[in-house]
Amino acid sequence: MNFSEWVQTALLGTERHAPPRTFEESTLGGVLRRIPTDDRVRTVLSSAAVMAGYERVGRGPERLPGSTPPACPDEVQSRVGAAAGDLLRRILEGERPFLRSEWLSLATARDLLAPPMALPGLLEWGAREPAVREELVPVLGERGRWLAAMRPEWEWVTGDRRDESQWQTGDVATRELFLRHLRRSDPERALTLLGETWKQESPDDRLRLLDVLASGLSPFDEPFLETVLRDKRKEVRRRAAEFLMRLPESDLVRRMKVRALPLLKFIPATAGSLLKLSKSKPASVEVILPESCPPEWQRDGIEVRALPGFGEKASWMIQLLDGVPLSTWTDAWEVNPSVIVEASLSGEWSKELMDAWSRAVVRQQNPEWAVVCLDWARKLQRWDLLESLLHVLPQSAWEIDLSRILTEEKTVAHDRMGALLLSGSGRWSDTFSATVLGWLRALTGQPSGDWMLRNQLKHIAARLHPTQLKPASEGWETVSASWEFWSKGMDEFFAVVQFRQELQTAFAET
Amino acid sequence: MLENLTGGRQVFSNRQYMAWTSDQVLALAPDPSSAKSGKDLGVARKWRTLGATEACAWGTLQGSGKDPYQTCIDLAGPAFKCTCPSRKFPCKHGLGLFLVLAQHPGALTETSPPMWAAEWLAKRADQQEKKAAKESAPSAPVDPEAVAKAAAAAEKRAASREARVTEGLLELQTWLGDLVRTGIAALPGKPPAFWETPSARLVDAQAPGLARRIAALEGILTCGEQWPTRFLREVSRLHLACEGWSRIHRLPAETQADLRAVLGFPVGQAEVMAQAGIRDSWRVLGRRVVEEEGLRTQRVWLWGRREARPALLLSFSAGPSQPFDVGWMPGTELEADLVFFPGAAPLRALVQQRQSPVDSSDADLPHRNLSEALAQSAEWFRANPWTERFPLALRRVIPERRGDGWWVRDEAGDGVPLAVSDTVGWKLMAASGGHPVGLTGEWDGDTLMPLALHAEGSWFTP
Repeated sequence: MNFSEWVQTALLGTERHAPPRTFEESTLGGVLRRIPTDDRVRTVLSSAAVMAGYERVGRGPERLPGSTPPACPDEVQSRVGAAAGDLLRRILEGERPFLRSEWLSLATARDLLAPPMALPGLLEWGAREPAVREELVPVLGERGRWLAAMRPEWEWVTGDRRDESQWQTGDVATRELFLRHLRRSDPERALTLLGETWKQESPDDRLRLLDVLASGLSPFDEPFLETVLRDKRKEVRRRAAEFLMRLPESDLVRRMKVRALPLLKFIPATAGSLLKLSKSKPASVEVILPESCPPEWQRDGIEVRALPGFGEKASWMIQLLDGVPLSTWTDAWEVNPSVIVEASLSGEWSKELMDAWSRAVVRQQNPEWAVVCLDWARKLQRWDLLESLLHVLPQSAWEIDLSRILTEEKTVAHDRMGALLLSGSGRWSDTFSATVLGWLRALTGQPSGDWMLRNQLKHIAARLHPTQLKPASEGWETVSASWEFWSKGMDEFFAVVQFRQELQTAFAET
Repeated sequence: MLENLTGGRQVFSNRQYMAWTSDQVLALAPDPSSAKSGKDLGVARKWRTLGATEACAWGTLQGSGKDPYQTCIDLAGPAFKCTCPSRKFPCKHGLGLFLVLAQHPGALTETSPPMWAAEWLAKRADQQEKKAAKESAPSAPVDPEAVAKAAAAAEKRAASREARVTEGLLELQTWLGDLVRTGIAALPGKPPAFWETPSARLVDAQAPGLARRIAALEGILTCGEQWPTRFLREVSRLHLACEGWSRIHRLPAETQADLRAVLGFPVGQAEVMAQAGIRDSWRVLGRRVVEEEGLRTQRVWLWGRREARPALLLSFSAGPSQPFDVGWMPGTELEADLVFFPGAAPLRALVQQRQSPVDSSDADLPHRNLSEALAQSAEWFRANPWTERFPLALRRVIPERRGDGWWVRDEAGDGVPLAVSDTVGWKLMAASGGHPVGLTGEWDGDTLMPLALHAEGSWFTP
């Protein structure tokens, strides 16, 4: 006499299945027996009603097996206040996702933890975007780690424990995080570990783990990287070659030097001579393109395929120049970078050489050459090069450069200005932020159709220095005719400014 | 509901303890797009003028019209007024102003209300007083003939209603019978019209309560592998209502009231209000808003501390233009007189009179464990078999994940399943950290649907 018997009858239908007829000797049985049986359907429904009522009233909780899983240990750090917690919730709910990093850094700087209800959202975010995991870990606290242990998708959190078993048994994301941490404290051990398992790693994993070596590169890594040059997969080989190129004493660099030196010839300036009736000639750089790209070159990472915009042989030359330390040229020719660059621009290969020098500057992060190349990039209005060259310089230097561009050079097409401003990363300094604001005020006073820049205004608002937030929210010429065009973007700009002000206030109060 | 407005606007004497967070403000939004528009306007910069006192807030801003819009909020309600043409309530300007108040109270610099705001507030105070006076005033002298005529008309209406309901229920019983005769296994494939038609006919038969429950049957089919059991239970309860109707006059008075409530007969609120109120400290357990067929229903669950019993405040709205009475935050408490609708297991109630403003409360939740809580719910289920849900207010439970489902476990080692999505489940886990927390929720006899969680001194609505 079980409810499931009645359910069975109902499922099949009374036409096909007779309702149960036996009842136990009990009060319930007695009641059920008294239900008239002349109408099958009515019998089923009435009996079901009695039983349903009986069961619902009689139902108690279930006795759960096992015991309560262990609770989370107490937090050592404090949590952020309610206001800051509320702002995080708004950020996570999609209001201003690009401000997430700011919230995280404000919390981390004060050693504070995220509120508990935000933790699942943060853990999910870390699962989806590996790049952000390091920023997230400091605000998770004991609660976050406790929670993360419950789902395999959140295993990435505990990868920060220096536990070599993570390396042996974790998934690739966990192992990568482990290796990155180890690489910071003990780069040689990290390399050794990677070398041990290299042969068993899948090609995708190889690329990922190889990337870890990018930080802390040293000659110690050279022998391993040389073996990786023979890897089956091209991207893996190229990456290894890139790393080797960053080691000026490496064998690869020596090989590249040998190949590159014969390609260029520096011809110093000649003074004109009245007697010889010849004009003075400026310095120039003569180019002798390589004839071929033999397999040894390709093993060292030179692509056979032409780079976009250049011929095949020129592309090989560019790649070689890219890989050779810039000091090679200043040493060989005993002249300054500015002389070399100026000389490169006066010949027929100016485009190729300019490109090559710029790549080398960016790869080798050489500030001395960067200043020279920037100068020329500006003169030649090569804004594309500007974006990457600028950030070779320290922030204070590129801010000065950009300030100059903002205040003086009205010729910069504004659609590049947005990209230029937003290139690189990190908060702008106080003074630079003020300069940008000044430029924006002038810009919004003029009519424009630059909807691309308008869309970028909110990102500009995100980079301003905190002290400039208040000035950014006032003193705008909103009545001008051009404001109507800008207002949509500026509304978002103000919203971001205000949000950031709320962030500053919320954390200041904590 | 009366507010103590004559005491010089002392209702919320300290703006801090009833401080509204942006969360709570946005909960007042009638729909998500209003919430978003409200957020956009929650920026002090957008407002031309802004001001507040302890009892109200006001502001003006330039909208798309010629003249700036004037917006005002009576914080004691809260109640909103705005000169914009929107029919939503509260409109985005009201929400925006409230958000500015919640997030940047310092931006509301004016201190004395402008004419237009003061006028509206005075009018409101006037209306409240008039309403109070009317309710306590002696009734007007009656004309016996008019009364008799009205009574006769009412009787005729009632008789006609009864006839229609009887007919409608006979039809329903046949329909229910057909389901069981042919077998419910075939139901999951049926088109929506299969459920809409009988539901519509019940509306015609003036039994809207049953109509709603018939329409909801379709949802049971998709609730999981237990659906045949749950379906049969619900259908048998509806059959019980039909059987009950055919013998209604032989049923005890209270059960008659319950039956009429299931069918959906309206109950005169004046009659209910006229009863003696039950005074107690009523604690807010939580609030749920559901939307069915364009009708929005708000359930506010209260718990009477001394009475040790729950009360349910029901409000309905036909859409965004009709507001719910707002401001029911879990964990708050108010001293009030409640009156209950008639029935064998009274749940639904009305607030007859508030004696004090809403205040936060630190008292323990009433149910010490699940056995106690379920035992109490059993009393209600027994007395009125058509009770859909009963509130649980568990003092110390731990949310847990078992396999693919979510449960709560009490300190005796008992548990009940939760009806939550994974997103909510993980939030509950995070908020508890494996430690016992307070949890309120709606229990339907099978699962518990959480309303609010109390952990580390604060209340959360997951």
